[in-house]
Amino acid sequence: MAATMMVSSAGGLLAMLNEPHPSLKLHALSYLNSLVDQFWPEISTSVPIIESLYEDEEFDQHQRQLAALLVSKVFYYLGELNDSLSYALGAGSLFDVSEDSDYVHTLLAKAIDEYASLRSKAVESNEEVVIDPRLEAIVERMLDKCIADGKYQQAMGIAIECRRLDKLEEAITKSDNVHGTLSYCINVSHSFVNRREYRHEVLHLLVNVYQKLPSPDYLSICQCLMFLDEPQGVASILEKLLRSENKDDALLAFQIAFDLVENEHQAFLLNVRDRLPTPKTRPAEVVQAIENTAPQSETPSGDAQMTDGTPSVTHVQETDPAEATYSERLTKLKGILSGETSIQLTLQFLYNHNKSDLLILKTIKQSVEMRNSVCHSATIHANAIMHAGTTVDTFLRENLDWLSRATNWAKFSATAGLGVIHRGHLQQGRSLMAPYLPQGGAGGGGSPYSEGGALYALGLIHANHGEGIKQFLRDSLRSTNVEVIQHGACLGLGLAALGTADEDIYDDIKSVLYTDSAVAGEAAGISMGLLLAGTATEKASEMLAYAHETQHEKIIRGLALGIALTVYGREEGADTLIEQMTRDQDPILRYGGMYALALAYCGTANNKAIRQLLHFAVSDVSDDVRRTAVLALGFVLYSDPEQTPRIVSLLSESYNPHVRYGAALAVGISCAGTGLSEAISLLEPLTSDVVDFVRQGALIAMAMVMIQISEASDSRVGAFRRQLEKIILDKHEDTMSKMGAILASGILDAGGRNVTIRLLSKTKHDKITAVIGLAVFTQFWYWYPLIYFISLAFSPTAFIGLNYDLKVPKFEFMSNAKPSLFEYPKPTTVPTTNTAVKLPTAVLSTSAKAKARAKKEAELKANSEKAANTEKAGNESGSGKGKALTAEKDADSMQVDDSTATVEKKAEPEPSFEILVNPARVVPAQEKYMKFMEDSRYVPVKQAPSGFVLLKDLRPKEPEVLSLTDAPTSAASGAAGQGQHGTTASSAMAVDDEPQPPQPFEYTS
Amino acid sequence: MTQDVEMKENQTPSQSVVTAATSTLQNLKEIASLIETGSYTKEVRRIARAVRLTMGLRRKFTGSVLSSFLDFALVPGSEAHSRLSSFVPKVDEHEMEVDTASSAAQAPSKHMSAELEIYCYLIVLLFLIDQKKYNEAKACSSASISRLKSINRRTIDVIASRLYFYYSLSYEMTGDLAEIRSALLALHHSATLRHDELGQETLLNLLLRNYLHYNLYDQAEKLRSKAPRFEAHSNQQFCRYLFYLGKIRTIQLEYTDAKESLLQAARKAPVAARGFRIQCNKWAVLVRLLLGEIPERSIFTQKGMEKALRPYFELTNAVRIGDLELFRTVQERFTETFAKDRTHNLIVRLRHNVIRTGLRNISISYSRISLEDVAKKLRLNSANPVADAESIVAKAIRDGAIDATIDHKNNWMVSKETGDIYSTNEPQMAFNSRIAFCLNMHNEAVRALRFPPNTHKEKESDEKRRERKQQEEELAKHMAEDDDDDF
Repeated sequence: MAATMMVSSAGGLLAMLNEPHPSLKLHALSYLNSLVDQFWPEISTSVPIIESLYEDEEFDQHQRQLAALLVSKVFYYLGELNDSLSYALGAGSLFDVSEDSDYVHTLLAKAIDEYASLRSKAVESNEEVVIDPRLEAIVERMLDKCIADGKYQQAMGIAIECRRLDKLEEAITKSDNVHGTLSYCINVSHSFVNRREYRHEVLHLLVNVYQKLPSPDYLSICQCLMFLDEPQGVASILEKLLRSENKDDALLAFQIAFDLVENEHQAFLLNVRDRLPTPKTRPAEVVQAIENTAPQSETPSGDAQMTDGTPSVTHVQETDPAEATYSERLTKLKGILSGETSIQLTLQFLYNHNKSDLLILKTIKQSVEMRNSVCHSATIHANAIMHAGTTVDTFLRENLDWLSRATNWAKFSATAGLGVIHRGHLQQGRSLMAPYLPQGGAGGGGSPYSEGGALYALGLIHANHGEGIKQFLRDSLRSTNVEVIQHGACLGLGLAALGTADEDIYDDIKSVLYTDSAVAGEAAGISMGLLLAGTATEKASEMLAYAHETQHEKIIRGLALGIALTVYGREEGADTLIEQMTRDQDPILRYGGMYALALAYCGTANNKAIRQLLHFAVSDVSDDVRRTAVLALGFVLYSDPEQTPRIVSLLSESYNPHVRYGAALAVGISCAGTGLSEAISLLEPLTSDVVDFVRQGALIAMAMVMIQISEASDSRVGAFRRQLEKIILDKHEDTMSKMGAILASGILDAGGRNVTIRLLSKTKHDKITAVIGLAVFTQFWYWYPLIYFISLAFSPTAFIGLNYDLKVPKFEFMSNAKPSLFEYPKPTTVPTTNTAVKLPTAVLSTSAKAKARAKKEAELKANSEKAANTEKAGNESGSGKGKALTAEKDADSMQVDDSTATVEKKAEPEPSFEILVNPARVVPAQEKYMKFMEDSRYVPVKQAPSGFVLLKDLRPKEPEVLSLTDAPTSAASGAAGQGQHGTTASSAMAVDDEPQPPQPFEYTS
Repeated sequence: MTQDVEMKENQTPSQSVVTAATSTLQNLKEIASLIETGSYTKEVRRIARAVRLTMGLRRKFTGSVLSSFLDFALVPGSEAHSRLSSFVPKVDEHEMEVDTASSAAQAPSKHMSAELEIYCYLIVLLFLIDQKKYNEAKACSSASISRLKSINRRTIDVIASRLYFYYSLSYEMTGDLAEIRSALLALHHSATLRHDELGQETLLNLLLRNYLHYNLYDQAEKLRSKAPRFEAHSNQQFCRYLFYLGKIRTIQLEYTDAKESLLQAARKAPVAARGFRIQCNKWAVLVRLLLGEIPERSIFTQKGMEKALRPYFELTNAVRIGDLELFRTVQERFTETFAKDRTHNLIVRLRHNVIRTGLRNISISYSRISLEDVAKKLRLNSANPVADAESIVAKAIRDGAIDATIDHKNNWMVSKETGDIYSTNEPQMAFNSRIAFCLNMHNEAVRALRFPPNTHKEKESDEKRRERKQQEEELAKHMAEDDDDDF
């Protein structure tokens, strides 16, 4: 190099290139190659000459390659990476990939990019794209190097990007921590693989790899299989686990089932269930019979057996014991898969832990003007949302007079509200609603509004688990031609048969649609969408055709939303339909197109979809379309909530109030339940917007964001509660924002303060019911009864640990954070009897609180047996916390004790942790603080901080202590020999488990 | 080209003003914390501010202050620390030692950011250059550059671009610019790859300077035209770029473009950068003369420039009169200055213009004049003055310098009547171009305005407002000093 340093110009060497003698040229080339770093500006003018040398056939191979390398380097310096790469490929072996220089690094990166884009183009456009084998060789060399160096994550990333599944598999299998890499890979494929089909391919591969492992992670496999929609695979895995000798495997199977249920994919779950063999023993027949007869069954006891699983006892003696345990397990598993076990447990949890504050409702009721029907029904809505799934309808019961002011559609809503309150009350749903239901042919005197509402309510109760009620709803639909009842029945049917694509139901609904009645047609449109959700069937075009045909705006709107629902989660598969809708002349169909975009790409954060939506948000002529386009961003982005406030921040300052409204709801949807600071900052100014409906939207959105966030973790929550109160009490406030405030108070305390809005399951999968629920909920702009759809998006924030018998054993675990961060909000002003017990109770564990609550409920029902039981459970639960317990032992002295406890509390500092007792409320923000105790009797099968978790019993010999349920411990182990008697006994108990159905009440109209 | 980088004399405080030293140290520590927050929050503006503040402080650096700062900022015993401390002379001041000990005690727990390390390199380098220890400076800067190569962070760019500058400067001072050319090229390219535009800008200028230093105009032009383009980031670097561009174009006979760049460079340069503006003016005067224009007298009487521009003033005078004799004497009298300015070759080119100006004067004065008289008036003392004169006149006519014809038969030059310029479109066009210029200036000013995001939304608290006000003042104050330091 010393010699070359002396040179001050490459001009001489360049001149030499024009010499005729090849050896002179070679000499010039080799020197230029070493000098190119310094003289590339000069050489760049002579590139054509060097290029011609490369193309010169007379030159020998080495010289030509040298020329190519030189040209490549010059192009690299000039920033022409494409040309540089193509010449570098021409340089063959002279281009040394292992060289550690910027040039090589840059070109390698370029090569991989190039290769990846070529590969994906080849796949996407289905045409043969010729890929330079040299390029492929380079990329493969890089991949091999990554794998050899142990950089598996890089290798996997490149392999996925380049669509080299063979290399992906190699990287995974060769890595030292296969399970870690696999879960990493699943994450990557969900968050970075944008094309659905390709993601499926990747997942297929992952499942294959999983299955080859010596100790497969069945939880993950089944999740993947669910994505791939392969019920057969799941069924066979479950069967294998159930057949296993090991009890733990059965636990795992149950856990898998619970996880699958959480994703709310009804059609898939039903498929899995149907593919499992039917138990050969008698109880199977019982179950089958019950399943078939459930709709007609008047006795709730039969329904309860399904989840119980104990009746298998008679046959145990006679058949093979292994077979018997198998069939017993199978019955349990089927119970879980049908969703009934989890629904039942959730219902119990929500009922027992209900902390709703009736005083808030009372305040609202008193401040709302009597004549203002909008606020009146908003209050009813708020009540329903507040008590969603808790079965507590005290408020309605206490205010029958006031309630009777609801007429016509308000009455429809009021009745439907019962469905929200009793959501998941599968066993007694029908008997509850019986007084309002249309009496087939008997010519009952009920108003069509309450009858329609009752059908809708049934749908809400059975949302996504409508096996038992479908038939009844169908009959009701067929037997009426009152459009209000049809409306209710359509909605109910859609909800109950969500996503099942049942042909018969579809035909029934279609016949309603073709009556061309505006009211019924709208519901029919939505209902079709619900029924076909996520199926992307041909029927969408049929619906679209009818939307063009009809004159009724309502029907068009219902159909537009329905079509959008059919393409739920289909991503690219929906593009043609979306294109068709967004190009339509009719703004209502374009509006549906926005929903289609939102739902097809929900939770993908797909750039293309975002770009399209933003474009419509600023360019469409119709305000409705623009509003929806902005709102739809919330759906597309909910998997990445931090993004949304940033993306819509400009839109939230738009001059157009519709766009501002959309921005508010978009933030509300995507950041629901996160309490994200930026989201709150964005919404805050909007809650005092100049336009009333923007305020309404912002208040609702704010409530969605702040749901279950305590004042201790964000002081703005308290401010917001006060703001809501102020708006409600203000005489001069607009009706619209008042309604928003009322609904917001409902959402803020939804489900007895024990639920949150969650669009993603814990395994980061989209929850179809929740997403669809929210999408239809946003339609309340046009149709208030649709507000109830928000209840579909509620998911309980609970940790519920279950033992092998699917009972809830006593189990303690720790929340490693200050209790005040996640506690329930304090009740407003003077505590009413309902809320007195849960003052910031110095009691340092929720167990005591739960106990006190449970006891309170028990008192209410005057059910002495239950009271005794919970007392017992409580006694056992908190031996270390004797003081608190004794304080509450005597119900009469409760108030006094409570106040002393409060005084004491002030003296001592707040502890930095909290012991929770199964089942416990665990809010999403709290999840990261959860710890399981090491010396505990139970060990969770899966390290999940919330949801349903199966617990492995390390000391199976000891008697188990159960909470939440009355069942005595001995019955749980399924002691043989009890025979028929045992069956009836346990089923009776299971019924007792349930809260008593409230007495029906009548409107005094 | 060397004197435009005037290094302000460093008044090393020989008397141990301990209070001053501690306050400097205190200031440095504040800057360090600024850099820490900047690197933590990834806010480049904080780091830019830190660098600006440093430039204000640099005259107060002493060996002891620096060594105690190094103890504070770097982990004692680390590689960077030992290397940098070796450059800083230890001063035995007892008070300072105490201070050192106490600050060192707090330091070790701290996590060191790369930004801070590079910043330490920068201040040591500044100190060495101010102390005129160029060889140490070379060593120090080379070490810093090799460290920089391994760090790829955008927050460092601001400090890095300064380091590049001083790196080149220290080599220039010892006359070894050629050595680092390939290193600069490599740095420039990696800056391009990393989208470090500030670095790209700085390095491109340094490279141009490097080439021009050795009169490699052709290579400089090739590099300039081939290097990737981007929007200018720093005014100083853009000024320099325009200046080098002007020089290159002058050499390559593109006078009109050259004039534009040089004038723009002179105009854009801050008032404080006197040396740079003098250089720009010198070149601009020459280019205008070469274009046949006569610069106004006011250019030569600008404050603080009279003395430096004197030779060029005389030269202009000679060209203006068109007196070849006078031109020759001026050229001889100031040979040294011109050689030093490296404008000699341009002045040789001027001779032709002198003749042309003379000719123009003649053509204005006489409607018809014999070539013989022309030769006499131009003092063409060659063998065949008339033939010479004829060819000169012919060329001038062809170039459009004079509006005349030659009557070959009678050996006359016949001037045409000059028309009334106000009857043509000329004034309109001139007016139009001025308006366009003003509008353009206005638009660019508007475009250059920047607002921090979301200011309208946040209601700033009193404290924040105070902080902002203070920052703004500081910024305004430092802008001037900063530019000054830079040139």
